[in-house]
Amino acid sequence: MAAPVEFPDAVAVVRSYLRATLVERGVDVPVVTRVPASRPPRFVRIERVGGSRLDRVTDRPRLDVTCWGPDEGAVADLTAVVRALVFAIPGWRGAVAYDVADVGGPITLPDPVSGQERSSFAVEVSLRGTALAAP
Amino acid sequence: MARSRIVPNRQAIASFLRTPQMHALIERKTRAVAEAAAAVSEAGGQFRVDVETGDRRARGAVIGDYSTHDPEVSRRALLRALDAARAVD
Repeated sequence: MAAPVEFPDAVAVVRSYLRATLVERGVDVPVVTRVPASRPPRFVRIERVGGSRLDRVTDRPRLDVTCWGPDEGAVADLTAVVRALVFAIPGWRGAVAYDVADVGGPITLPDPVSGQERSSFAVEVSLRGTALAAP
Repeated sequence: MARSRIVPNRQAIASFLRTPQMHALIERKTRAVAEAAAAVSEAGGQFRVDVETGDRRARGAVIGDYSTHDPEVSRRALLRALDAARAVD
């Protein structure tokens, strides 16, 4: 039997990475996986929307990243920083990410519930798995 | 030892990308994505497939969701349906 390989939770990995690197840059915004009922003025939501295993040790999740902000300018600024950081994840010590592929560039999609401006983009991140721990 | 060098035959590649077999493959993959998008759509799931052989390659597009005016609903369905293309040979 081949050794079982488990893959990291891609949303958790990218969320941790983004939160840490945003704070490093002085951009202290929440990075969440679900849209909160009471929306902050600025925040980022990461959601897995598919993707598949590339080979025995590589997972390639597709992630949808959405940035909310109080106005178009704030959203554009936040999206630009978040997008740049997401593409820079290979090499981060928190996980082994091989590469990031663009799936769909930023698209403006105002939030119909809160009326806030928001922008979304999608990427695929190749993440290395690890041997499943013995029971 | 002499160094190996790979020279792509661009004319042959372009011909290959425009063959009827390639058109058929692109059409199968595009239709698979459209069917998957319709299945996961939060609206009515009305998607259209457009496949054509252009000057350089056969290409396919999935367009919709015509059942909703909400671009977010269409986008979510299409993003979630992309994996269907990988499952088709």
